[in-house]
Formats: sequence, structure tokens, C-alpha cells
Amino acid sequence: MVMKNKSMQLLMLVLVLGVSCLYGRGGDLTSQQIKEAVYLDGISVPSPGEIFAAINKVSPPNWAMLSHGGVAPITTNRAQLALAVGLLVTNGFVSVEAQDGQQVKNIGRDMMTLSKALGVSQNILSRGNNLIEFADHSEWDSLRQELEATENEVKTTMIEQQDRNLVNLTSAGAWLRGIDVVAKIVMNNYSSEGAALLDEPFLARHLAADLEELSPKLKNDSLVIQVRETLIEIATILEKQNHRFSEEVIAEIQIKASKVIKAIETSSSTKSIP
Amino acid sequence: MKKKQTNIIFVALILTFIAIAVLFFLRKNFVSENREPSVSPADFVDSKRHALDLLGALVNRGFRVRDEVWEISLRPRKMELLQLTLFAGNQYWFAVAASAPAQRLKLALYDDEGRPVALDLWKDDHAISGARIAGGLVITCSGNYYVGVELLEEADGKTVPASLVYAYQ
Repeated sequence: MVMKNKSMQLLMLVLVLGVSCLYGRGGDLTSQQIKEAVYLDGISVPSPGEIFAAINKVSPPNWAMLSHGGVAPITTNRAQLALAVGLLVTNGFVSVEAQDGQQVKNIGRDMMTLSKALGVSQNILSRGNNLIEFADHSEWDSLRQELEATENEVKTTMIEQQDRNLVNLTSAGAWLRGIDVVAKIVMNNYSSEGAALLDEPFLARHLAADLEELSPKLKNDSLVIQVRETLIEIATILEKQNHRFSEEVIAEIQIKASKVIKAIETSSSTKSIP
Repeated sequence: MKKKQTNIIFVALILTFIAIAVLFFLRKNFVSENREPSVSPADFVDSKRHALDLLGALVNRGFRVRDEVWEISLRPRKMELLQLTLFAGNQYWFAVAASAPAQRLKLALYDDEGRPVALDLWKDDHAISGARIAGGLVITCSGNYYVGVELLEEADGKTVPASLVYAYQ
């Protein structure tokens, strides 16, 4: 009798545990839920302002030393133009951090030039004018909002013109430049907290995977291949570190990012816009 | 007699377990195959406005609101998740608003492995029609996160348009 009662109790326990398992650990997401999570380019990819806000708390750099307009390449390669727009967006955020109004205006004009070359400038004109006006009045918070809004407007126009492929390239360009900037800051004044801000292998892989989905013509462009490979290399390096990033690793990542950024900025013709 | 009763209980328990398992998998497929038609972009205008209003006060405190909005078609009691990258040291606030007939929402944050992360929640004061919720925290570990939104109560069981925005400092 006792044995039977014990058997029943054990059975009840197994049943309760079984039912609990069907609904997962209390409160935790299941692997299926994680798999089905939405990834939206405009919000899942952090704005450069977010990582710069974080690095300012850990290791505020001399932003003026990092501020430069960059180079808007003279090219008809649409992939390169889209990547360069991304670079300019991040450069804009750097210039805002440096409170360098003139550089912001230069970047605004370059963004208009690239947008025109891409055929997405019709909606951007007012944004470009806003950037210039906010820079003239040193309205730095408004500039950050406007830079992000400009990037999103460019992407929206790309989608409207059935050029969704270019959106992923713009995001990849912006992210790479952000990594380049933060890596330089951390190398200049190393801290483990600063280095940890670069712990984004998931995002790097996602951006690389997005480039795998491009149309065959874009996907096989030599620059796009270089960008994709760099993203994968950076993701692989980051994953191997077990969330601890040495100065050597940061330097390695910065060199890789910098190399592909130079390739993006290089004009296909002999001269680039200074 | 007692032995017979025990056997009946035993069989009943086994059948109950099997029924629960079958219902679980059927429910999952039913929800997938019988979706409400998607709402149109115009339906998100109000929810976006209300979500941004929630974060409006934070702007004066130095927060920066992301330009992009996550537009969600919420089905009752199905959590929708969005991937995000968040940075250590930054403070974040997430705001969700859903149009009527939504009555109550859930907002949650999970880390890269799906474990819940505590949010400081602001609950709807029902000053406007629909439902709203906001949650904030300071991130201590940079990386990949998931923000979850779920419609807990609604008036007529239909899909409800909702918008999520977030701000950081």
C-alpha cells in the first residue's frame, strides 16, 4: 500500500514536471521564441549615438581628434555609394560629439551629393538644410535626431524605389565606422569596460548575413565581398574572446574596419572630393 | 475495488497529460494558421503618437529618442519579440502604446539567452483610450537583447496595432 502511494506521488511529480517543461522554464524565452524574434534594420541596429553615449561614460575621448568629414567617393558603384552614406552618418555623429559645426555641414552636403548620385535625394533636401541650420545654431541634440532621421529617410526612399538591397549596405557602412571609432578610442585609453562595448558579434554576423541576401549583382561586387568578409572576420574574432577583449584584439579589429573603410572611401576615378 | 480505482486514476492522469500535450501543439499551429489580417500602416498613427508622448518628458532630461518605431500587430496573449543591441552604462526607456480595444499590455526585456531582465515599469493611467506601458533600466552588460510586448487584455479578441519606441541616455 505504501509502495503504491509512493508510486502515485512519483507519477504525479513526473506529470507536473512534464507539463511545466511543455511551457518552458518559468519566465525564460524558449529557443523557438528567440528564433522568431523580429530584426528590424532601423531599430535593431543601434544608432552611432548610442555607442558614443556609452563610450563617453567610460572613456570620454578628444572627439575633435576623431572628427573628420571623411571622403565622399566619386563613383557610379551604387553599393559603394550606399556604404559611403553609412560612413557619413557615423562621421556626422562624431562631429556632433566634437561640436564641430563646420564638419557637420560638410557632411550634410556630402550626404546630399551621395543621395543624389543614388537617386534618393528628393526627400532628403529638407533634411540636409536642417542639418546645416542646426549646425549653425549649435543645436547638437537636434543634430543627432536629424542625422538619424536623415539616414532613415534615405533608407525609406531606397525601399520605395525597390532598392532594398542598399539599405543593408548603408547599415553595414555605419556600423563599421562606429566600430572603427570606438576601437580607436579604446586603444588610446584602454579599459575592459570600453573594450566590452565592442562585444557585438551577433550584430556583425547579422549584417554579414543580410549582405548574403543581396541581389547576385550586388552580392558579387568586390567591395561588398570585402565588407561581408570583414564583418565575418570581426564577428569571429569577437566570439573567440569569451567577452574579454585585450588591446591586441581591439587593434586587430580596428585595422580590419579601417581597411575596408578606406576601400569604401576610395573613388573609382583618380580623384575624390576633398 | 481499491485497485480498480487506482488504475482508473492512473489512466486518467496519463490521458490528461497526453491531452495537454496535444492541445499545446494544436494551439501553436492554430495561432499560426489563423492569423488576423495585418493592420494597415495608417492604423499605427495613434499608437505611435501615444508611445512617443510617453517618452516626451524624458527628452527634457537629456534622453534621445530613436527615430525608428517598431510597429506590431498584437494578437491576444502572444508575445512579440524584437532584437536589440544595448550598451553598458546607457539608460534605456521603452514605451509601448496600443490602440483600443487593447486594455492591458505586458512589456519585458530578455538577455541574449532569453532570461528576463528587470525593468522599472510605468503602468498605464488610462488617461487615453487603448493601453500603454513603459519600462526603463540601466544596462550593465553590453550585447544582444530581446524586448517583448504582449497583449494581455482586449475587448474583442482581434489583432491590435501597437507601437514601440525607445530612448537612451
